[in-house]
Amino acid sequence: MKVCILDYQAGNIFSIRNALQELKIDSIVTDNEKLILKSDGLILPGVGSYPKVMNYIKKKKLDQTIKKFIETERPFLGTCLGMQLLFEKSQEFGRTNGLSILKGKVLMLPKKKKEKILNIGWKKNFLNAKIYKKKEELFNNNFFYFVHSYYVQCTDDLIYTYSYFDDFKFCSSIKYNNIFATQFHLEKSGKAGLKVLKNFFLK
Amino acid sequence: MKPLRIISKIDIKNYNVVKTINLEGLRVLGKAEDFAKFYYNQNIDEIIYHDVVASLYGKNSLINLIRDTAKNIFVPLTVSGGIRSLKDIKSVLDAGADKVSINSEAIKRPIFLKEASREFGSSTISLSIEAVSNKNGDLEAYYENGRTPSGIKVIDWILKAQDLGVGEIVIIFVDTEGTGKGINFLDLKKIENYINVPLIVNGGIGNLNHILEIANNFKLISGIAIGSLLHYSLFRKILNTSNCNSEGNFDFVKNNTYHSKFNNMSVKKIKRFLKKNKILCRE
Repeated sequence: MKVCILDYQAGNIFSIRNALQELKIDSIVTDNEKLILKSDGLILPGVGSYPKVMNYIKKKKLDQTIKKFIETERPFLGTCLGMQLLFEKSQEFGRTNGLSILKGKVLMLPKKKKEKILNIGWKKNFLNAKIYKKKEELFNNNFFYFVHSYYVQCTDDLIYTYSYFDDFKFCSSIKYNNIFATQFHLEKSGKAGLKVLKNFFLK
Repeated sequence: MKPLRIISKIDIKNYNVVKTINLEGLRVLGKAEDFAKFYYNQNIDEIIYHDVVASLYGKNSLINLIRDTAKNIFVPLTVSGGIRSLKDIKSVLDAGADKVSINSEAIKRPIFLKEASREFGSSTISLSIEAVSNKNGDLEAYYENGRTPSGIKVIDWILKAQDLGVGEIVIIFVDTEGTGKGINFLDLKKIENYINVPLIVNGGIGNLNHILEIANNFKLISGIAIGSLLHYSLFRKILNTSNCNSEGNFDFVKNNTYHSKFNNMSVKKIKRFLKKNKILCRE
């Protein structure tokens, strides 16, 4: 098992690498298309601003690489910004087009009077019960670590789990064929996060 | 819906965990990495590494320690002490930290907070405030590890720093720090109406009820950072100073002393207690 972590010059890519190392999953950080298409899994990690990252991805033609990899039907994981990039467009700093692999858009979390819009910390997650009947203990009622101000708005069939920002319900992870993506940071969510990571690549 | 974060604040000098009282006097308790790993395994929500001598020497010496720690610990790690430039922040983040907390440099040059939150995002930039009660009964912000008064009222500083873009505030109550006497509620009341970012309180937590009372009376508090109460309870269990950097006061460790006030506490115990008392927290 060898997993590629897409290198798009974002900060702190090494956290996810450390997490894979802890799980004894081989990984490389690269933007080389050949290496990526040869690997058993691809991770689009998530730190940075949407427009900046999309610019870089397009400039380096990484959008084509990502799409080609997803077509191989091998496991593809996006975290945080890496989940948001899969959708059509984002509101972050104006309007930016995303990878458009999935239908939906990225919007700012609703603002309360005084509070700064930032969902930071451990939040409970709940399985989308309309589709996922089986009680997947790992997700249901479990805490994962979030740091974000934007969220994905998409159709219900993509949504795997929900979480809440105060009383606002938002999509916290999605599943579609070989794509799995989380708004929370798996690599910072303690043992639960590592377990999800392990299950996704090693099951 | 917001769970209370239980955070371990680890004060560090040369790779060693040290404990102070009112931010004075350094007593070595063991290796920082061992402590961090132990707390991680007990489901701590976050760890703060504070380099206690960095402000004096003007540089953060924790880089290697952060790098090693980030390999084993998969919860957020915040680093403070001696963060003076965007370059400092980048090197700390690149080593594996998730956030930095800034005090001295922000007091000297408040615009630094704005530059930092623009460059790295507000969620990465936290402000540390060392709060001391002055003669007039006001809370005043100190810096350089509680040594130097800034003349700035804590309330004014909170408002300004929030405007400058910090995403979080850690307030350290120096008067009770290391004493286990509990945080002064009057001090918390003074600031609670001015806070609009997540607030972490530190300095003086000595027992379970101190934590519960804060959780029950101050709903806006997002996290409680604990030092002595956890460290003194833990250090006997992992009494391993063989690899410690030899500099510092080791008497406490060598004599295998019990701290009369802080013992028999653990992260798990805190969380069980909070759950029993209906305070939402991650188990």
